[in-house]
Amino acid sequence: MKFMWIDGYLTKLTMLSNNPSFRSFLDPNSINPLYESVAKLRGIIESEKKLNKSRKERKVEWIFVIPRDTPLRFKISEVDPELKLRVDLSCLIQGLEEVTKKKFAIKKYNFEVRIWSEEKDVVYRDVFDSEEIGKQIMDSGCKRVMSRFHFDIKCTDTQRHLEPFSHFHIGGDSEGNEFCWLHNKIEIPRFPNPPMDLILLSELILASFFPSQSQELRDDPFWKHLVKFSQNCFLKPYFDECNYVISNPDKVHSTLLSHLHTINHCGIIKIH
Amino acid sequence: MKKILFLDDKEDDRRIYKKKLERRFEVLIEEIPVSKEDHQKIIDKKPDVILLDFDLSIPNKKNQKSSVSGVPLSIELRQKIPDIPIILFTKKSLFNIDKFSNIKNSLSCIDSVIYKTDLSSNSDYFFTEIENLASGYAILHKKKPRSTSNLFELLKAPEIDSDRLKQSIPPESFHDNSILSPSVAAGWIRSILLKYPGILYEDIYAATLLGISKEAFQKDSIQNFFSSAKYSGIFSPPEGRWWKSKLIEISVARMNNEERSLSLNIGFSKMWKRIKKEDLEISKCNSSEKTPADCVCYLLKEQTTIPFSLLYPADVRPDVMDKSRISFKAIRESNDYNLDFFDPSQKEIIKQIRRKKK
Repeated sequence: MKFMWIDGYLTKLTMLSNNPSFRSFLDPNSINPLYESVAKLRGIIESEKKLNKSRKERKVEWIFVIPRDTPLRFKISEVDPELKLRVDLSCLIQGLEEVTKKKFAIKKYNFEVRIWSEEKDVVYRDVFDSEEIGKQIMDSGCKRVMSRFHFDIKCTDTQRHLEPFSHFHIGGDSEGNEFCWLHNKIEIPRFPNPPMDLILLSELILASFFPSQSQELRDDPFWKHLVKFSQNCFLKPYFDECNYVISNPDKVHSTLLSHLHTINHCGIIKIH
Repeated sequence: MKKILFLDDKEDDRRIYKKKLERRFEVLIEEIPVSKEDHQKIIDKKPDVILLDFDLSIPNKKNQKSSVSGVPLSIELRQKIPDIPIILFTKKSLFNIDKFSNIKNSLSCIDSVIYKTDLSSNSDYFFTEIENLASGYAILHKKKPRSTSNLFELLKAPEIDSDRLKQSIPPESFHDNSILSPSVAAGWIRSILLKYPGILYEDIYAATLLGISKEAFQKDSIQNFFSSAKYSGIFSPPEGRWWKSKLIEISVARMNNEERSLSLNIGFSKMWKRIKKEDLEISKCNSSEKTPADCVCYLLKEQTTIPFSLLYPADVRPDVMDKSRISFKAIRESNDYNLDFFDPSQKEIIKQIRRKKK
């Protein structure tokens, strides 16, 4: 039995993790965790397929995780090498595919991106930091999170602030070993942002942190094929919605931002 | 019973090892080759495997000396009969001169090196290895794979591993389709695929992947749970190997969403506790006692963690294989590592670790 969407997506993630050019941008310790995350997704899909034999309505619930304790770490950025910037990302995407109805939905996703520096003069500035913090940073291997952000979807159990269904947020829940400047409690603003996936985010990281080194890979038809698949699945429904709102001011009375606060553009999407 | 051709210049050794080998093999003894015609005699015997002494310098009864020693002879035999595995059978001291060199790796004409003393102490293990070697070659010869896909079928490889298997084949092996010749295919399977962890795992690596100790992994209940992940293709080594992809697939199939959202080395033991009501011993770092471990020390073959180990690129394993690491414990306790493999910052860390030892 073949699931139309998730099988295709798994194939794309497998191609990403098996691609030697992409792997060359990763920290050697990250190659295994990426492979394992993709292999876990495959295992989940296979087990769901077996369960479907006894189900009336065929469906597959899946989850793709790169845990925060084994994030996908890239090599030191080629940009501003004196800053020794290194980016890592962790993620969780949860989805549901209703095979019988030919629909899929992204139920939940969260991509957390951290930008570390490993340069002594960057991670510790005596004008801003206490000596104690400086000592702790040096003891933990001279690295510090200089910036962090995440892409996720609206948390339904909190209504403390208006937030676009799919958004981007600077900050988030940092851990002690990050020594992050940004305060955990600052939850706003949440910028409207299209849903992200591992392939789209990898493209963003390569283009931002390895603009010239990754040029050849990003120009490769193989890479473009991967990115276009993700664009079609994750970006198109979002931008179609935006386009509809902007193009039809007479039919949609709310502003684009208000509209994005209420609409679930990751919801059940028909597979064409 | 496999036919083994045993070439040794020492009469005593011929007698002693013939007796041992005859427990599992049909043993053909040949006089040391003194001429090209003698080489042809070896070929004409059609053995399943050739066991060749390194040093053939002692003259035979007619006081004739061998025209060549073991290594050049193996090169010649490999060219003439590439379908027959060749094992160098020798005294350990000869190869212990430089602990960082490995003759088996540098000579593609030799499939294995077995030390005479090892055969005395652990004969069953080595007999099985010799049999596997002979069987593997025989299958490659008989099936004659026409493509890499055919070759992967002989490994009984999961389809999903095809890309990674291809990436693990040295590029030069694809030249003129040489990967499909028995000796090149055997060399890749034995000296890369089975040797380096990445696609196939030994017990210690499999246990680390799952976040449990090697002893816990070797429990019958765990071995049965993962039985379909066990490697059963050609050249299967006596101590066994596991398909990493299958270990993961089998594990996640029984996990709930919460367990699936964790790293495998945390989620597996939680799942096991839930479904089997059994606590498994968690993998522990040999250098810090932290749990779970997430890698294996290349030198000590013990579980360790990334923060308490250093990358140690001691060999030329393909990129698709796991990177080798050396634990802080090995740095403290062993002298069997080569400082040339470390960069200046790593050398500084090594100095600090060794200083702390004192």
